[in-house]
Amino acid sequence: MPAKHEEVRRRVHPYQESLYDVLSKRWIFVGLTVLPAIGLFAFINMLPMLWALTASFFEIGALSPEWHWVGLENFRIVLDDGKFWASLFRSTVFAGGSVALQVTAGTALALLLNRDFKFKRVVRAIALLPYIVPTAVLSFIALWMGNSRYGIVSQILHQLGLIEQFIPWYGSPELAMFAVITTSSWKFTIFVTIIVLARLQSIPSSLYEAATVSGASAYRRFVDITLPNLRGVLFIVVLLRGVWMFNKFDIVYILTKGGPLNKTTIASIYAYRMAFDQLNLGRAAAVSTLLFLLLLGAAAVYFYYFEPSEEVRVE
Amino acid sequence: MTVELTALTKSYDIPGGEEIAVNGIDLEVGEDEFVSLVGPSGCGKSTTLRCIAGLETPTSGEIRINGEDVTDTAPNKRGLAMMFQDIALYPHMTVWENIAYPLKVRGVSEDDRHEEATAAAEVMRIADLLDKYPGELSGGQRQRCALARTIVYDPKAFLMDEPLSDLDAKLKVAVRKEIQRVHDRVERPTIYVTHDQAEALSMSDRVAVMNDGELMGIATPDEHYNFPANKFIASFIGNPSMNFVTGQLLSSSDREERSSSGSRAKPGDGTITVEFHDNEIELGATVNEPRSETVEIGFRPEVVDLHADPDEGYFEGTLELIERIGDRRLATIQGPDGEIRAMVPDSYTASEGTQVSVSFDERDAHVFDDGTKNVVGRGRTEGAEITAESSS
Repeated sequence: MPAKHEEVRRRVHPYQESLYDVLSKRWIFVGLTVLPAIGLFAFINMLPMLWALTASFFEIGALSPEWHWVGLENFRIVLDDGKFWASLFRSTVFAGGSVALQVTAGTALALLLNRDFKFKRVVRAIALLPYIVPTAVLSFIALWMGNSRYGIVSQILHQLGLIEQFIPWYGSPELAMFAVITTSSWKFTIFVTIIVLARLQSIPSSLYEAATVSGASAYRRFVDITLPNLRGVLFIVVLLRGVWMFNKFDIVYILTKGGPLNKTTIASIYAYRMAFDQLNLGRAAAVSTLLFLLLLGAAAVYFYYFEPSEEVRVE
Repeated sequence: MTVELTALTKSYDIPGGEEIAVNGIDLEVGEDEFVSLVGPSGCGKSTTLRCIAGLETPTSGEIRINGEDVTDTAPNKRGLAMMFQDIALYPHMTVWENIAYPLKVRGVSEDDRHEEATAAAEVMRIADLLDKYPGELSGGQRQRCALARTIVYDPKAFLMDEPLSDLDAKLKVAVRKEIQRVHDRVERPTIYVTHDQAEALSMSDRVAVMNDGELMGIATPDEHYNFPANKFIASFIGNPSMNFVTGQLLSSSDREERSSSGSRAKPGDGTITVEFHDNEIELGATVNEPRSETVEIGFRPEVVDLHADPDEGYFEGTLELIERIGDRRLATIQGPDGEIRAMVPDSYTASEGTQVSVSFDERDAHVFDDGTKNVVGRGRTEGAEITAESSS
């Protein structure tokens, strides 16, 4: 065998051989494979983060290149601003409402798709559509559907006799937050469904059969087998969706631009306005930094109280 | 308590027609009787069991438990206990929670549940493992835990779907004993599905042999072994399996003279004469009338004798292989009709490749009709039993 190996080596081109030698060096290989990824991550993620962190200590006018060191002044002003706290509260409502709706509806849809019925594949494809459609496109479709004069949502409700007159879903101060939460859930529910469905399908059917023969009703089987098996995955889903919805900007901004009467001005829109309406980049950076620290703290508490490693017990 | 199946049929819709998994099974399992359903994979034995459990809905037929029709009763209302091939312990519950689960769904208080589970665990000798999770148990301990879960309440019947097939040989024998111990203790009808005939023969009061969705016969292990009702049972029961040679039917007694005792033959009954490889033998006639001229003569490896002298046997063959089976040797001979297996004493010395002559005790021969596959003649008459290997 070694002789044959030598034979092969002799036949390959000398360049190939030296290339092989170079690539065989551990650090060169590691560098070639891992460095590009780290480089991209640093360039796209780390650099802007560090920039924002640094910027939060300066006063920066968007139109002038000069940075003035102001220390913690930006943070003081932001923390003193009632609008910031109000926007933070709205972010919490938006994130909490969205996560609750998405996890409930997503889990329910996953439970439905886990059963056998006709047109299951069609239903699954339809459910996946909103997730595939770009946020901007989906938001404009939603705007049309919720239009106060000819929107199909009001149209249907009106014809069903549930409402007297058409409702401006995204234009009414009372309903805007609800409408925005519903729209974002329409798009992101399937994310929960996909993950929960994957977990559901990995539960052996014999567990359900054993419970059934033991006398467990469908409700008991759900409480005693399905839910405990879903706990681990729901933990991750709530965390991910919570963080993402808390930081959400695009869908809300397209739908309402933070209005009406600032009823949907969540913290990310507050920061955006700070940066691009008031052109105060430093203060906007301070808002972002505060949000980052807040999420970090919330995630730490979440992990501490729920101990994900204890939640998931797999044989 | 009894379990009764009448004309149980289960078919599935498949593209281009339907597939019949279970075809009109009649079965009655008496009070505290242990009945095995045995057969090759795909024969419908598991489907039959799952129909009894209610996990499958029969296409037609009737299931009665204690005389009560449960065909349309929901599986969780039938009051049965079932063991599964993959044990199906709940991985997120501790051993005691697993054992007590059937009590939990019955609304028993936690204190009582713990007490009952501990008692059941003591019966199964796993009382020291109550707070562990199934993932921390060995294979045998898991089986015991699953058994304890079935005895913690008082089920009307026990259903077992190949519960031992994932265990190694030694553990199999150990858990087999546990299952029998449980059965003797609870005195409930037990239906045990297995593809392993040794398991079925050693544990059961009666064995139901299935093939292709049909019930081929139900009888005690001894009856199946000594008086197989048809060729399928003859070849399926017994290890190493029965030998067959093809022969011709020369004559057979009239219907009136044939045995009246089913697939057995009685002394004084009619006879049947068959010829194979220029030998003619006369055997007792069973109740089945031969339908075709061709018959198959079956004889177990335990009753075969090998001779060096060609004149001493019925036919000749080449000795192909000799392997040790316990305290004896199994010889494989390539004969004129294919392979013949023979159990020979340890002292047998002929070497592989030599020509040997095969004979067998004709009193231990069975004759099967080539058309119906039913037994039409038998050397052994009622009462006598083969002594070479007891099937207990």
